[in-house]
Amino acid sequence: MSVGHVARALEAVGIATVCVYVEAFRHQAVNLRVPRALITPFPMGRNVGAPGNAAQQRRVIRTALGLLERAGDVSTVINFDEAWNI
Amino acid sequence: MSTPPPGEQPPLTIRAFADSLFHGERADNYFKFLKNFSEPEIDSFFQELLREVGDAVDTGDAAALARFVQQAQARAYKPAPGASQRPSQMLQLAAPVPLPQARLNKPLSKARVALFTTGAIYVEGLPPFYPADWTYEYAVRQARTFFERQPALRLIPRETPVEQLRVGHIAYDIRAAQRDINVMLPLERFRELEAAGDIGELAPHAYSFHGLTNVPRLRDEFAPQWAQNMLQEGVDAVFLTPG
Repeated sequence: MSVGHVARALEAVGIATVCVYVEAFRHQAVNLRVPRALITPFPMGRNVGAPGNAAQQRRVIRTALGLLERAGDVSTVINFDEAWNI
Repeated sequence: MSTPPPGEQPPLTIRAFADSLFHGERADNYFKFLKNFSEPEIDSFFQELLREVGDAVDTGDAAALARFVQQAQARAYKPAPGASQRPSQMLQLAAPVPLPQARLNKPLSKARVALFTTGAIYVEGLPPFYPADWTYEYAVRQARTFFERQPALRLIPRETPVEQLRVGHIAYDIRAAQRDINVMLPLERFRELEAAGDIGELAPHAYSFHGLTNVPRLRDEFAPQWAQNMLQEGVDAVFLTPG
């Protein structure tokens, strides 16, 4: 939940944010209406992907950064559709 | 249940076992979610877990096991129907206020992007996010005290070798981040993006604090100041990972 406060403060000064949440905390992204959030189907503490899987980590990041360029004036929460892959 | 003889421990119930995983005697941040399950749900979870472990042993493929654990974790943390909160409640604000929403006003390829995590990552040699005389295991069992702690922001220079980064969060399982910090703070991945021209540049620092903290002070004092500092550092966009 702390990340919501940080995102809010950043957005308030004009800095765009994107948050990468794991599925277990989807409700925080949705209920906080963070401006941009990517939900990954990964265990807690592994938001960006499996250890050592640089290729999947890159795909998570690119998907999240895409929200920064595309998302508009309403909260946008999308899913990362690849499975956990070690 | 009969009282055990003096000196003997009472039988361990499945309920007591699950509860002890939540920052208790058997603290386990991977499986502490079992505290949120009913006893029948815990029973069912362990039966299925053992089945999946057996399959993984035979096939060498842990994907189904990983998926099973992750889905159980997600189910455990999902709020009960009708329990969703309004943003003002989740942010602990006195009254509903509109949420600010900035826009990135330049292409990413020209933007200065910063990383920010509440996953309690820090540079080796500096103290963790709890008293220096605490072990990590002890800190995990003191979770409640963290809500009284002042948020402490760490600035991680962008060129810090990842081998020099440590993870000190006491409320999520840190083993994956210890193996590969990029799973929580993708510093190497963003250095690659910068080199490829996909982002304009990586900000001079990545930012990290321990997300379990004094929320009112974070909300009213620290987060706004941090945001101003990052604005002055020319940050255009921030990639955040909650810990």
